[in-house]
Amino acid sequence: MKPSPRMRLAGAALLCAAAILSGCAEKTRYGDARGVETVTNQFGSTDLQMIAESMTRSMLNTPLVTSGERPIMTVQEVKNKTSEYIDTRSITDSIRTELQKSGRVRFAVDAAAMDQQVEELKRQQSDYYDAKKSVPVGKMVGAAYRLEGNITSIVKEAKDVKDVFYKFNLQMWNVQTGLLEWGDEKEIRKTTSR
Amino acid sequence: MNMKLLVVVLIASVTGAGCATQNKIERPGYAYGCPGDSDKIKSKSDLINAKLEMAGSIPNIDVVDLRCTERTGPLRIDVDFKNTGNETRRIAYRFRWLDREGMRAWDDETWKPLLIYGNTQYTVTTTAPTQEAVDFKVVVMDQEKPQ
Repeated sequence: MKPSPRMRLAGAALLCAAAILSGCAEKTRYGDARGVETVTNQFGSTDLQMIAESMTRSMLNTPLVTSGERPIMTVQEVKNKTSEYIDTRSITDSIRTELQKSGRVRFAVDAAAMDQQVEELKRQQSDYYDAKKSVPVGKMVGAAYRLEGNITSIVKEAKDVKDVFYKFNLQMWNVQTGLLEWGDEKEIRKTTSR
Repeated sequence: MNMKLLVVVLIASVTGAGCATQNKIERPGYAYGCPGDSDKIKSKSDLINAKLEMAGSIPNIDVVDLRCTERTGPLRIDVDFKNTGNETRRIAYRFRWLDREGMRAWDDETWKPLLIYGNTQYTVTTTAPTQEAVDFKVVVMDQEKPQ
């Protein structure tokens, strides 16, 4: 049986609709979490990972860390002096994780986590706990060194070009003496052109 | 008098030769100062081939030297990349860290973008992230086709 012109037309319309729909369909795939990300020139995952790695490896080379004494540190604020929103806590968390994993540094509780620490200590002193199996108060260890830093940026924009320059600076200060024990910088330049 | 001088010169030359030989002796499991099988690695080129992993072909980019030291504590590595072409190239690299048994000693590093101008050399330096990381591979991939 020969298809009628109307049936042919309906078939062609169906094919076109399927082609259009498949073209519009979104695709979701897993990517490389450590890959170079250049979707925009704003601060991104590659920048965060590169900064954390660069600072950590630099710090692991200092005599203080290579001595094997496992110095006790605490992480203070990294100031965001750029014009965009950057979660600097995420950068310092990554740095702390890498340093902790290296096994050459120990971290004391920082200011941000102090409330939770004190809350837990207080909770264990309550009547609900066996006094012999509760941790005693007054035994917390203070950090001998503190980490602090800042991130700045310079943004230049012309008609077809946008250039962003980031500078991340991290320092390790001796809490007792106030001496700067270590410091390093990581610079990143990203240029977008049309 | 001449005989005494000859003896002194002989002793000095023997001592000197001894020192020179000692400097060339590698620690077991090391070749050219880097961790590696000294029986298989007979030249710097062998060392580079043993440590380098190219993710696909990368035109005009060569690793021309590789140096290692543990003088300051953890393993430190210098890798010299050279762009043999005239155009600026963009590549990415990362290190893979292995322990004494050849097992992975650290999580995957982030790929680090690197821009190398034409006909220039660029040295990349890194430090082992942990004391367990005693061996390494440097992995390189192309970030774009030649311009």
